[in-house]
Amino acid sequence: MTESFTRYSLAEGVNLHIQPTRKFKTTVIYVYFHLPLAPETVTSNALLPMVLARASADYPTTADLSRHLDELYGASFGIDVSKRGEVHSIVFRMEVPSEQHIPGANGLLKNALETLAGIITRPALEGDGFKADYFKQEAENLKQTIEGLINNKTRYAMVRCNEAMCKGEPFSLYRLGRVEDLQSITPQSLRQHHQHVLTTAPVDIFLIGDLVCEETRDLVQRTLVLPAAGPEGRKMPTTAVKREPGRAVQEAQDQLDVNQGVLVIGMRTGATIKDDKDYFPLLVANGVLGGFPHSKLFQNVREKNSLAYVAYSAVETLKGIGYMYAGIEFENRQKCQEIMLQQLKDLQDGKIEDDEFETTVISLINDVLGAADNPGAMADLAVDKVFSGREMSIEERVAAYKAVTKEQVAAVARKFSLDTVYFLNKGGGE
Amino acid sequence: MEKHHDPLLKDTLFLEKLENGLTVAVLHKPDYKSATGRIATHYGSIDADFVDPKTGKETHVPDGIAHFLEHKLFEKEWGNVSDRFSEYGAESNAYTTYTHTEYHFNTTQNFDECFDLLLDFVQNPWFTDESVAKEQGIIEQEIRMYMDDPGWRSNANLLEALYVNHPVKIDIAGTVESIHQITKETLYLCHSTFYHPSNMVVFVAGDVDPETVLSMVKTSFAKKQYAKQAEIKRILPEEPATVAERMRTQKLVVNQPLFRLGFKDDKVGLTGKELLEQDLLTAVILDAICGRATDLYTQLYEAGLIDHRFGFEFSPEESYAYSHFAGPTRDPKELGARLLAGIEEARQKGLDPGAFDRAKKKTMGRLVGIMNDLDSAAYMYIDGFFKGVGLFDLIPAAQGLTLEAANERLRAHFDPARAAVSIIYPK
Repeated sequence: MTESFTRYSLAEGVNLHIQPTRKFKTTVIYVYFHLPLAPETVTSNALLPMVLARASADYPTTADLSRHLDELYGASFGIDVSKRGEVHSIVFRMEVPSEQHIPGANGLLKNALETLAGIITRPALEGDGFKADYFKQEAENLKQTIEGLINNKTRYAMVRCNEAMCKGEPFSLYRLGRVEDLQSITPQSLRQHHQHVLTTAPVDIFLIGDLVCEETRDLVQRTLVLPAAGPEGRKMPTTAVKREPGRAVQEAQDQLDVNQGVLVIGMRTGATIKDDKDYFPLLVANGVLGGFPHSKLFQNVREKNSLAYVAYSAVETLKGIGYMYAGIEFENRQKCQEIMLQQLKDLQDGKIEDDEFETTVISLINDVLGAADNPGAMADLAVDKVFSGREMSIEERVAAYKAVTKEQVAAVARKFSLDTVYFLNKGGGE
Repeated sequence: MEKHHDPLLKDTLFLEKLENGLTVAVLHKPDYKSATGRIATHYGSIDADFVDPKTGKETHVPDGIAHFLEHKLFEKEWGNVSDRFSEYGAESNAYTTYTHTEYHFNTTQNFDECFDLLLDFVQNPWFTDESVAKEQGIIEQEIRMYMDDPGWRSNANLLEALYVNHPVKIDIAGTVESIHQITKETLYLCHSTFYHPSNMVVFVAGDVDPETVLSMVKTSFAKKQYAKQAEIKRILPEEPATVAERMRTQKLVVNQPLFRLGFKDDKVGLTGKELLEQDLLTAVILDAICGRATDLYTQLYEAGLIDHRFGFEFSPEESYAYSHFAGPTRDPKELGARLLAGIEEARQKGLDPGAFDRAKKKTMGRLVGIMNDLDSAAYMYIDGFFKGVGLFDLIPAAQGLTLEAANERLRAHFDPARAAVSIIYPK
C-alpha cells in the first residue's frame, strides 16, 4: 500500500498535498478554505463561492468561463460548502482529463490550475464589489436552495433535528446559511468577505493524478498565488463539544402534508475524533448500531419488523453528535422509537454478537482500503487528518480498527446520551 | 478469453461467451485495491408481459415484480445474503431499472468468497409466503418514500404524459396495490424465466486474474442444470408516436415549482451501434442547445428562470426513448415557453458549429473520466451490454459524430408535436 499524500507547506497555514498515481485517467484538484461556522458569516461563506463560480477577470462572463472549461475536454468545475464540526469549509473542485488519454491535448493541467486560480483570486468585479447582476442572481439562487431543503424530506428531517438539538450552538446552523441574512449582504460586503477569506482561512490544496511531486508543487506555486495572511495569521477554527449527560430528552416535530413519517433521534456521543482512545471504538460503535445492513437498526427496524425501507445511524465525530434515522408509517412512530432505543441500550449493555462485531470491523476496514480507489474519498480522509491532527497511514488505520475490543465499544456507547427525538409528521397541509 | 485493449484508455477487457449463453467480462484494473463483481439479467420493470418459454403461454405478472424479486433474492433459508457479504468485508447492493436488474459487491478483501456467493445467490432463489409478506411491508415504505420525492414524481409524471401504453409509464417498484398481488409462485416463475444464463451477463473489474474469474463462473453455473432456452419473447403494447397528454401536474411539499419538459422519440427499435450513436449524438445536441456555455442557458439563467440545478438528459432504450430538461423555477409556464422557443430556433438555424465541437470535446473527456471509477465503468458496461454496445465503442463513436447528423437529428427528435410537460407545484 503506497497511497499517501506528499505534503508541502507553501506558506504558514497553506498546505499542498500531492498524490501521484497513474491509476486515474484524470487529475482532480480540491482547494479548501476553512472558516469558523458562525452566525455572522455562515450565509456569506455559502454565497461567496456561488458568485465566484460565475466568472473571473480572465473569463468575465459565465458563458466565457463555461466555453473555456468545455474546451479543456469538459474540465469539470464545482463548488461546495462543507460543515465538519464547527468548521465551515469553502471547497473548489476541478477535474481535468490526463493528457495521455486525450490525443493532441496540451497543457490541460496548467490551464485548469490557472483557470481555477483566476476564479478563486481574480474575480469579475464592478467597482469595489462583485458584478451586481451575478451577485443578485446568486443571492436569489441561494435563497431558493436554502428554502428548497424542504424538497428532500430525509435531509430536511436531519437538519431540523440538528437545529433543535444544537439550539444556541454554531453547529445548529445549516451549511448553506439563513435566508434572513441575505438582505444585509451586498456585492461590496461580499467582496470584503472574499478578501477576508483569502487572508485569514487556512488552506488545503489537494492534487490527485498522474503527477510528479516537485514539478506539481512548482506549478501550483506559480499559478495559485494567494495574498499574504493578515496579522492574525491563518488559524484553524475550533469546535466546541458539549457534554450534558442526564439532561432531559427533548421532543421536536414538524407537520407537513407528506406520505411517510421520518423519525430522527439525536444523541451526544460524548466522544470525538480528538479522543485518541475513543475514536476508533466510536466508529465501530456506530457501525454495530446502524452503519451497515448487518447492523442492529437495519436488522431490527427493517428486516425483523418491516417498519422501514431506510434505517441507519451516523456520527459526526468532530462535534460528538450521532443520529438514528428511519422513514416509517406515521402510526408506527412509537413502536419504531422503542425498537431503536432498545438497540442503543443493547449496544451499551455490551449485547454485541461476535459476528456483528467482527463484521463491522471488517466492513470499516474495507471502507478505508477502498478509499484509495476514489480521488474524492482520498481527499476526504486527508481532510480528516487535518482536523484530527492525527497523521495515520492506511495501514495504521486498519491496525487501529483491528485493535478495538467489544468492551471498548460498549464503554464508548455508554457515553452516548439521548438529546432530541424529532418526528416529521403528517398534517399541516390541509 | 478474448482480449480487447483500448490504446487510448489504456484499459484491457477480457470477454467470453459460455456454451450456456452467459457472457463473462473482466475489466483488468491493476493498482486498484477494490474489485467489484456483478451479475445482471435482461429483466426489468417493463417485462411484466411475456411468453413463458416452457409452456408457450402468454403470461402477465404484477407490476413491480422484477424489483420485488431483486429484494427477495437476498433472503435464503440460511439467512441474509448482504450479511454474508458484510462478514467477508464487502458491501453489496442491487438495483432494478425499467430494463435490467443488477446485483453486485465491492470489496478489498476475500474476493473469491464474495464472487462465489454472488454467483450462487442469484441462481438459487428461496421464497416463502411469510418472507414475501414481510417484504411487502418494506417495499411499501420504499414506494412511500418516492411518493414524497419531487424529482422522482416529476419524471414519473412526465412518462405518464409521454406514453400512452408503454409500461415505462408504470413505476419500477409498482404500486402498493400491485405488490400485494405478488406470490412466491409468480416469483419462482419470473426467476426461472429471466434468470437463465442466456439472458444474463457477469462483469468483474479490479486487479484480478481473468482466467480464474472465468473458471469460477463455469464451476458455479455447472452446479445447476440449465435446459437450453430460446430468446424470451416480451410482449409490449403498440405505442403511438404521439404523446398521451400535453401536461401533467401534481402538488407536493416543495418550496417552488419543479418543471420538466420531455420529447418522446419516435425513432425506436434501435440496438448496438445505431442506438449508441443516437445516444451520444442526442446528448451532444442537448449540450449544444442549452448547456452552460450556450446563449439559451445564459438567457434563462439571467432571467431567474433556472439555476445551477437545471439539467437535461436523453434516456434511450430499445423500446422507448425520451429527452428531458428539468429544474426548479419561479415560473414554469414562462420557462416552458422560452425553452421551447429556444429549441425551435436551434431547429430552424441548425447548431452553432463551435458549440457542437465543444460539446463533442466535453463528451470525450467525460467518457475518459468514467473509467476512473469501477462502479461507473460497471454500469456503462452492463447497460451497454443489454443494448448491444461494447465498453470501448463509446469513445470512437463520440469521435465520429458529425454536425450534419446532429442537425438532422435535432430537427427530427425535438418536434414540439411530441413534447409534454410535467410540473410539480407547491402544496
